[in-house]
Amino acid sequence: MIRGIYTAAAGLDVQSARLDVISNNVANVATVGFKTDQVTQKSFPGLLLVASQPRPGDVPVGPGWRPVGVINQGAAVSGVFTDFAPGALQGTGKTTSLALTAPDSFFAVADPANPGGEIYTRDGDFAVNARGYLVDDRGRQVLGVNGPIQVNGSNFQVARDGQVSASGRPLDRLRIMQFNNPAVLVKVGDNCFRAPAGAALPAANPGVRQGYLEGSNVNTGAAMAGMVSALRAYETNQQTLQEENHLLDLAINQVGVLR
Amino acid sequence: MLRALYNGVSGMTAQQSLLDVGSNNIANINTTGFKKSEVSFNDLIYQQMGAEGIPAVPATGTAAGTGANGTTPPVVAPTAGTGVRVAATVRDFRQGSLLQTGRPLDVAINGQGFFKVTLPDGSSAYTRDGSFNVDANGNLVTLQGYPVSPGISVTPPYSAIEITRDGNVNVTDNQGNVTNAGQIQLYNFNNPEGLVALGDNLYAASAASGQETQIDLSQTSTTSLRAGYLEGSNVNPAEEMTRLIVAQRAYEMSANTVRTADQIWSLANNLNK
Repeated sequence: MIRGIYTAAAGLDVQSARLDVISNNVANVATVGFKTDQVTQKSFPGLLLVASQPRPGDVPVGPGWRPVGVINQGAAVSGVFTDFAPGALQGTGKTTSLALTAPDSFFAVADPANPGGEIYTRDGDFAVNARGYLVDDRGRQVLGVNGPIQVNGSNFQVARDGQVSASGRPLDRLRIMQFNNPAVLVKVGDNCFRAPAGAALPAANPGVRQGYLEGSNVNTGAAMAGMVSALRAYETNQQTLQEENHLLDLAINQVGVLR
Repeated sequence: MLRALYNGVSGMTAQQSLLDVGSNNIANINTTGFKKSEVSFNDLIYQQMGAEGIPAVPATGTAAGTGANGTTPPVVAPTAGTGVRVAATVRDFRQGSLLQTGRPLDVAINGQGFFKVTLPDGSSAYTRDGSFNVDANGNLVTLQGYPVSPGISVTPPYSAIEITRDGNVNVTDNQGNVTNAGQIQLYNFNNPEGLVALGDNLYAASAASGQETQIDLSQTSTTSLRAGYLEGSNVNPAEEMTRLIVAQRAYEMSANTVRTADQIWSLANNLNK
């Protein structure tokens, strides 16, 4: 029974973790370039159940016991998986709004914590700062192939392959990177991802669209259903725990009582 | 459940800002020279799961992945996000539509640039609102009475005032003589979105906007002044309606999150009944 209580408690925790991740997705339903997270669960590592009396003919495997089977002691979160499916494009008409249509491409932005390094984002809601550089909404410079891009005003054009030009004169090409395995990307907040060094490769076909922003890819129906499922699974685990508690109560207080 | 509760609260707070900005845009739909604002959201930091007791057991493997060419995905500790925040409220300085009024002292800017006015304390402010008047001393002033740069002085009596495409103010007196009272100056910024809104359709320069640069109206072909017109707001009603719908529904979803977190907490509280 005590074992059952801990199993049910692990179940409660896992459903609570699922709700935490779903609630973050829901809070970010209107965030440009946001990618949904999903929790993957697995059962706890198996424990061996043994019987203490070997049957005649059994090959002894331990000192006086034989295996009966395997039991798992509950569930655990095995990972949070980010879904990089593209979000819907919203037209804004601004020259500083850029969206990537290829699902595994990312803009490279100067990393404020690491001068010379870069972090990656799908959020193309850019602006021009006072010194004429293209920056994101946190003021971090957007990187081109030759360093930060200086556009000096909002009259510039960006072609499908990321080439930036102003008044017909080419300025630079946007540094757009793709990853063979997007699972290496780690979310760090502020709509950005960090990747291990060397994992980024130049993107072949980024499909840059100027005048559009990519919305979040949160599936609202799935998020609502997920919240209901987490709630009811939590309730089921709670019922299990209460039953275990009841059995324990019987064992402690009722068994052997003299009337 | 506490994290889900706070994520829901952050979502509701952020959508409230979207609603506030959208409603301000709509309220100013008929304000001369008004520039609409938009909201950008950012997600917040991600915390590693497991420290608070949630069983988090990542798959085995190394940081770079295993298998040939790292084909097995590498181990990344599971993280949970902490919600959303408003990253920036950006003003959109695109051109509003020109409305004809026929009044000679109404001037609209067709293109980029701002009029510069002098505030009573001597500092400068910038505006797109060209509803000008001549005050008792003959100065060309805005609706609030602030003189327009570089200081245009009109000596009464006059029969007509004409403001040309390049900002020259030509005054015709009662005898039919035309004199030039000065040229209205236009200024632009590297980053007009960095201007600070002062209210009364005025903006002030800041470190984020950069220094003013004067536009030479006689040379440029991209910006001109149109007398007899006023620039309306650049608010797009369809876009604002969509913004309100998104804000309302996203707010509803986050409220649902708070409600679910509350129910879960209630279940946890009733475990020992």
